[in-house]
Amino acid sequence: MNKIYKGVLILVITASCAILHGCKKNYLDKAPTNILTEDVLFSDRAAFNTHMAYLYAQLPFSNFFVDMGTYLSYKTDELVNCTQDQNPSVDPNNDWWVQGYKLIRDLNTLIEKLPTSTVFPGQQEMTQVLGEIKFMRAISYYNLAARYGGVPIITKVAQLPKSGNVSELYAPRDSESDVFKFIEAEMTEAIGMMSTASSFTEYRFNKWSGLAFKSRTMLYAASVAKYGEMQLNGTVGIPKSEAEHFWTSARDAAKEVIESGTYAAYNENSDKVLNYHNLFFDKSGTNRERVFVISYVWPLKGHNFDRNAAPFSHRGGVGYGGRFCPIFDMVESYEYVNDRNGALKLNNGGTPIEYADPADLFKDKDPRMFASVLFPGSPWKGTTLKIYAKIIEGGVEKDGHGADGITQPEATSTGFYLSKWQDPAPPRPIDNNSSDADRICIRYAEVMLNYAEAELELNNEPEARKYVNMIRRRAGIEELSSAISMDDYRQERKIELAFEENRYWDLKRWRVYDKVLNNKDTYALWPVYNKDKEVYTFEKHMLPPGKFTRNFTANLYYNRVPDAVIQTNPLVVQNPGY
Amino acid sequence: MNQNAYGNAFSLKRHLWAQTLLCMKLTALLLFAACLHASARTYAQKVSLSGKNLSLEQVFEMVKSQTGYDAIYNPDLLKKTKCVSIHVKNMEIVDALQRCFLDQPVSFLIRHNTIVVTSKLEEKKVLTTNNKDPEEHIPVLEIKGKVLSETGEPIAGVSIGVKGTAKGTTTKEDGSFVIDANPGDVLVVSLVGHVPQEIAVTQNASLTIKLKQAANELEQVVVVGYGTQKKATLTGAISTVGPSDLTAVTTSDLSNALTGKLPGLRVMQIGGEPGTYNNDIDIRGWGTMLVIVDGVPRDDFQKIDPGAIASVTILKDASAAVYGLKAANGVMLVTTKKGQAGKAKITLNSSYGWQKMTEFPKPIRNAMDNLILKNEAALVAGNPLPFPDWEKYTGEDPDYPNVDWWGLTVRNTMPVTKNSLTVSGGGDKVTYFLTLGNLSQAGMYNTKSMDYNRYNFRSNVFAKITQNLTANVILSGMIDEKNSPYGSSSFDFFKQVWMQPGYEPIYANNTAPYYFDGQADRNPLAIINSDLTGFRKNQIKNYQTTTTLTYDLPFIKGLQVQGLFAYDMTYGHNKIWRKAYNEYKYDANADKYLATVLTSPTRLQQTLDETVYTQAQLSLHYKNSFSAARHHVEALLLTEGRNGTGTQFLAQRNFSLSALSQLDAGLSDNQIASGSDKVLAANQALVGKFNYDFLSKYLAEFSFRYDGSSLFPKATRWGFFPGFSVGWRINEESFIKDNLSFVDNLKLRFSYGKLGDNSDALGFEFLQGYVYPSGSYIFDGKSLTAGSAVKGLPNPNITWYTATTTNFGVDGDFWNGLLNFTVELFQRKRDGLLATRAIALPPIFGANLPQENLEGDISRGFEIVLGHSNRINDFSYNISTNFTYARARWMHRESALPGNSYLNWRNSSEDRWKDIQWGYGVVGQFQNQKEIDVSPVQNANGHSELFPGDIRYEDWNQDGMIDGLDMYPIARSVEPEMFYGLNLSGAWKGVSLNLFFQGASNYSMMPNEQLQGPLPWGRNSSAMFLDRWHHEDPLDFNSPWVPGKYPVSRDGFGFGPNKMPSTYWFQDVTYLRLKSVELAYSLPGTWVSKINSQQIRVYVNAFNLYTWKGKNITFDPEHRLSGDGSDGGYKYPLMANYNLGINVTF
Repeated sequence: MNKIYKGVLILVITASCAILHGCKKNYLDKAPTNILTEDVLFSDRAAFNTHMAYLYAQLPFSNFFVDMGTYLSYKTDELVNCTQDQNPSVDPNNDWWVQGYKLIRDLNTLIEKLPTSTVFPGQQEMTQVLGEIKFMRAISYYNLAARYGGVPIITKVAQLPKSGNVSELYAPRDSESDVFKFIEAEMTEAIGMMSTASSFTEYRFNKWSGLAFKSRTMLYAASVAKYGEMQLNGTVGIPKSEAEHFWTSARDAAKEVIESGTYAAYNENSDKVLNYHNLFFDKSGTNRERVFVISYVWPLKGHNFDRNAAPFSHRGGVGYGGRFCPIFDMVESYEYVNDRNGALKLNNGGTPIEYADPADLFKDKDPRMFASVLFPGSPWKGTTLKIYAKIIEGGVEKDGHGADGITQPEATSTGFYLSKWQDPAPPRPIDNNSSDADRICIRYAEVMLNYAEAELELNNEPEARKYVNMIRRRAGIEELSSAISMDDYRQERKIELAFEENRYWDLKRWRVYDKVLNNKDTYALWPVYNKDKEVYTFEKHMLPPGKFTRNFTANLYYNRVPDAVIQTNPLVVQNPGY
Repeated sequence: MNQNAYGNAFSLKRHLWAQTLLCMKLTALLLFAACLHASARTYAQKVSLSGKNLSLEQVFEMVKSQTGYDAIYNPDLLKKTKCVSIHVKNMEIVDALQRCFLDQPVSFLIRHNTIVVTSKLEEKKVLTTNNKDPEEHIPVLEIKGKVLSETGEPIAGVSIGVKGTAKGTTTKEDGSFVIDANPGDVLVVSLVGHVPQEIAVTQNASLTIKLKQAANELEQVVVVGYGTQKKATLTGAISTVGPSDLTAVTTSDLSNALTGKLPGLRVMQIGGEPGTYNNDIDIRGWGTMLVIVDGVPRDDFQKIDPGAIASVTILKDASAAVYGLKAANGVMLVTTKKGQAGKAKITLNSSYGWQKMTEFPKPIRNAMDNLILKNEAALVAGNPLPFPDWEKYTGEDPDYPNVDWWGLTVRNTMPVTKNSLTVSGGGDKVTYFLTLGNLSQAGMYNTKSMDYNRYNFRSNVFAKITQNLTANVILSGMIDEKNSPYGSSSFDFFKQVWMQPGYEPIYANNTAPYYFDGQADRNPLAIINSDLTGFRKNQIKNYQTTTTLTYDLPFIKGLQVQGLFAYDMTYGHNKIWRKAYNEYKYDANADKYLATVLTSPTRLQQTLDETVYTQAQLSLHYKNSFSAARHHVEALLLTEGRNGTGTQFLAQRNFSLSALSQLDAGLSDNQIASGSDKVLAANQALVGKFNYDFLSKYLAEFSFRYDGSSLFPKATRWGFFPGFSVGWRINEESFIKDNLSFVDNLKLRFSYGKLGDNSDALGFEFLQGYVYPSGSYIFDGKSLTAGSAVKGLPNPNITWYTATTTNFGVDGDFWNGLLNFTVELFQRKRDGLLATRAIALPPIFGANLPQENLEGDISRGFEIVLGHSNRINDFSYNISTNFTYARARWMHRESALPGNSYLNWRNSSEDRWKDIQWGYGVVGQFQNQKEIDVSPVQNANGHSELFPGDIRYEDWNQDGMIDGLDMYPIARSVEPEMFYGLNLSGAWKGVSLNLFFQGASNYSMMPNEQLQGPLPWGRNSSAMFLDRWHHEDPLDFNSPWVPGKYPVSRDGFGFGPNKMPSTYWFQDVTYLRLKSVELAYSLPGTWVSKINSQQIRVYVNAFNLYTWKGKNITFDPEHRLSGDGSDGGYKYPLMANYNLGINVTF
């Protein structure tokens, strides 16, 4: 008996010792299952590619497809979110200082380490990828400069100071002019590195998309130089003398894209409305207007545009809808095919005009309006949108309560819905992340307009008019025969690129924001349905000022530098007016 | 006299000295019995008695105060006695008493400093005992009896001894015993953990003895870190509860039964959803504690059947230091029941109950009230009235529906049933405790689509393999399964049902089953219909084993070696079945139902999840006494290791066929499969503990743990966590013992220790690399490439953070239970809390920084426990109350330099209380337009949008406008600083009543979303907003204002500026609640024994019964609806439970 329990005891002790001490060497050493080591990343192509995927996803193309809160058109005179208060003073990407420098550090790391790595078998591919990385860094700086003006130019990977004294990491802001010159040089270098060869896709940067972005960037710098003013010793603002340099640089970049013949304005459908609408859906190779595109493929990666934009009676099961409502003035900005005054014909000498079909109000409008805006009486997915604010029945006027608005919650309050990226025949029911239209970040029409703008600023009006007319011809409205003014050009740019988030930056760089949105009231189109006569009349209705009146003050041309940035880096000065 | 009743009525008047003697010296007494016995006759004491009409009780009191002699008697016997008048000085005690007993119907005898009152029947014998040796001359009686617990269950293994002799026996499995004794002998009935009793032998009697559990008694043995200890010699801040406290309330969540019972333990309910177990539990407000179940860290203790629990102990100070790295927030030790030797005892416990939600916000439940609010909102916005015909919405005309969505979707009462079967018993070599239990609980949807079922099994077998070797094997298993509809977590459901307007019909064209496609995102009735919209089935299987072998080393007395191995496996299986379904609108012209397809395509997602933990322990334990038991020594050396592994797998397919919810039936297109191994922290430790006490008077303990964690790099993973505590039992000193005999216990304690924590450590912060996956991008227009992000700078020095705990405590017990108290003062100071330095570095640096040991905080507080227990004849009762206060403040907090002194004041957390809430002061509500006109500018739009009834903010800095600069600290946050409980229990014969009150204070809550404004998204409203400012004529803007509680109705959550954090919204949610009530009745033994049962107990109990709170609080204050601001208040309601139950033991 004694032997048995001693045996058991010894067994217990040995077992415990084995468990506790035998494996002691690595008992506490565990390996993570979600970390790729640096060695792997810089030697394995697939691993490296995952990092590139992360970097592309970090680029600051505001993506209102995914997060409508970042949609810059809300801040402009294009549309409103009926369900929310408006506040144009806040850049939704206000944190970009922090995010931007994080991305820049990652890019700086690659620029330092990639050349000595073994990821790529040949120099050619290495050069292409390094070019992309450099271009991303330039895009990052452009996004900083467009928001804050001059910022510190950081091109090296900083290390924590050994002394522990963080003041070694402080850096002052470079001048806005220097930042844009740095961007110009970097872009030029990167464009030279990026090939036009087989690896060409619109989903990565290449020589041509590089040039296209360069034209946009240089246009911004030139406009700031010409229309802005120098403040804080040049920390914000660019000397007027440098305007011509940047106009020229913008023009040359755009011209190179145009002359390469790589792209063409989309013109695959004789129906002008369909043609313009399809331009944003056609993912095939025949769509040569797509220069740089963020791709969506359902169900791998979908977005919520249809869900958020849908007219009230066409909402998906998850609700939402009616989040993008173009305002009355924007709809009037669309010209008539043969009449440059786009004003809607509501009254005849004070008497409301009666329309049998509400859609008749928009007869002969620019086809681009029909491809971008849904209005009272619009055909949509086999129905006709019933948008009215009031009904007259038995001679009594009362609240309208139309199936698609107005006064329905989550229905339009302006009388309009945005349809530019809405799919009239979605391949699946509208749900969260059920949409997969691509987000075109820059397209060929913009390059043509950039070229026209630069030529116009450089006093080459005929060349500018030629390109503006190419846009108008493709759109299906009358071409301009006499010399065009800057206002003519800007009107065309507003319409062609409407709702594509260009206008926010255009209004800023032209320094006209504070005039366009100077305590501006917001108007809606209120249809009145006379049930007795079965006719429609229309009123121009002012939306509640507390919720919709927008204002843009001059200091907003530059964002407020986040307080934390100044607190942690006393060399950084705040922008004027804050 | 009925024999049972006689036994019950036989109450002992025990006196303090005798009790102390018993408590402390029982062993010694038995050892030296013969010696004491021999001296009994010759031990002469003199007394002086003086007084008129003294009752015998008063005489005994006088004798006791002079001699310390205790008196034992049956009160019934004394009732027959007369009062006496006596005046004697310095007389022999026997002679003095003889005088008092003259002509009395009773007699007495003196044994071992005890006066025993006997009936006159034995007078002759008694008289002889005074002259002759009792052992020789008194005839031996055979005493039969039975020992029962307080609840009437027989207890085996109780030792019955004859006081002053070596005679003794133990009770059998049915609680019975037989012992020979002489009349006048005193039987001592004792069992560890119970209050010992003494019973005088008066006649051939059959006794029924009820043994009381020593819940607050010093002899009680308490589970402490890696061992047990007598409560009397504890030196740490330790609180414990036994099974009777846990079973007085029937609830599915064990932590609910602990609420308020353990001073220092804070339990707050978050929701009453079946199977969620999401109560907030912590010790002294310190964050998630470590929970040890039967010696092994296990985190699902809430699911253990309270009937299987022997005790729950919390370690609140340095006594937790033996748990090292995870002990900084305190430790909870849960010990399950073991079997006791004796005949098999079978207990069946069954209860049936109803749940009913406690106070919970409800939406407006009819169409017209909602339409009035909508019209009023349009009126003040200057819009046309949307529903001028609101009065038509009565539901009589199908075109004007009136639907009570709340009533349609929510059940009033939901059943809950609980059953358990326990078998326990054993012999000399093996004891066992087996229990099998089931809980079934229904959810709150009217469609009965939510339910929860839990099955528990537990077996605890203890075997004596040889003289010195014992084995203990604990096996437990649990399966729980929760079913709920696919589309409605409680968050979704309340969001939808609150905002679903009553003027929309259930069905399009009022025709089933065409669910109407209304304004709520989903038709609330459709989403709770599992048949239509799919289900979620969540199953957890849990299997735990603990095997312990203990060997008493024969060659050294008191030395023991023990090995423990535990293997715990948890297996989760989740099935989410989403069915595509339609909601409809009706097109009257075409007589057509227009369908909207929802939650399409039909999809099944299935997840398997496995976690395994292994733990091994080896320990040496030594316990001995020296120098005639003057020095007590106990020491422990232990080494342990714990490791976890796990894996997870997920598969998903879309379906065209929705009749079969099986992956096999799904489509292979777009299917998803993924999974990964889990990395779970491992640790390894060496633990030591040394206890010393001198005469149980001067107490000391030292402990340490050398602990290593896999969360930290090699160089910094090991930590040393020492603790010590000392105690002084003042009552053992002669100056108390001799002078203040009412003091049973008075102890001063002090403890100090360093504890650690790694719970916030992210793990692998010392590694560099790229985290995969992070984000994604499509490079080719077809396929997704998952991304990898730079992990950021590593921290090779990351390590645990430390908590230094100081505790000072005083315990006192007086007048044998009439008063007891404990006071604790505590402080916990933490250093090296993990934080990232990023906010102190310029962002241009650009790197994500790792966690570093940077911050510090301090928490201080006190606890008070006061108790009183007493017995008056058949009525015994117990009152105990506890109070805890704790508040924490930052010592150092990482932050950027403030730009100026205002910003410093506004934003700094440095050396500041943690629970400050900033907001606006409120002067009141505007009563009229005039007040608006003269007020400071209220917001960016001036006064232009204000109406009477809107909130009038305080211009705190008096600059004429209300803005962020007017904010100041106005409230405290959602964690209460004070927590209190009051337990009242009483028992009379077979009836017992237990009332438990619990509450919290010094915290506040601010509602948000639908609880802060009417007409969310222009839809329905919370019913409370009907009490609002409005126009007398709801259709006429110029009619006079009628005041109300809330501001005038505005569309879309009300008017923004009214909703700023302010004293208007922040509400003090102090409460006191009648947490539980139980009334139980044990059927009389005579009835019970007729069906061969040992005990039948029936009970009714209720939980969350009634709450006292501020009159403005329209919800359950413990629930803290949207208290953290992120949940919108869409939390599953708390439940009040009402149960009927029966407990039968065979």
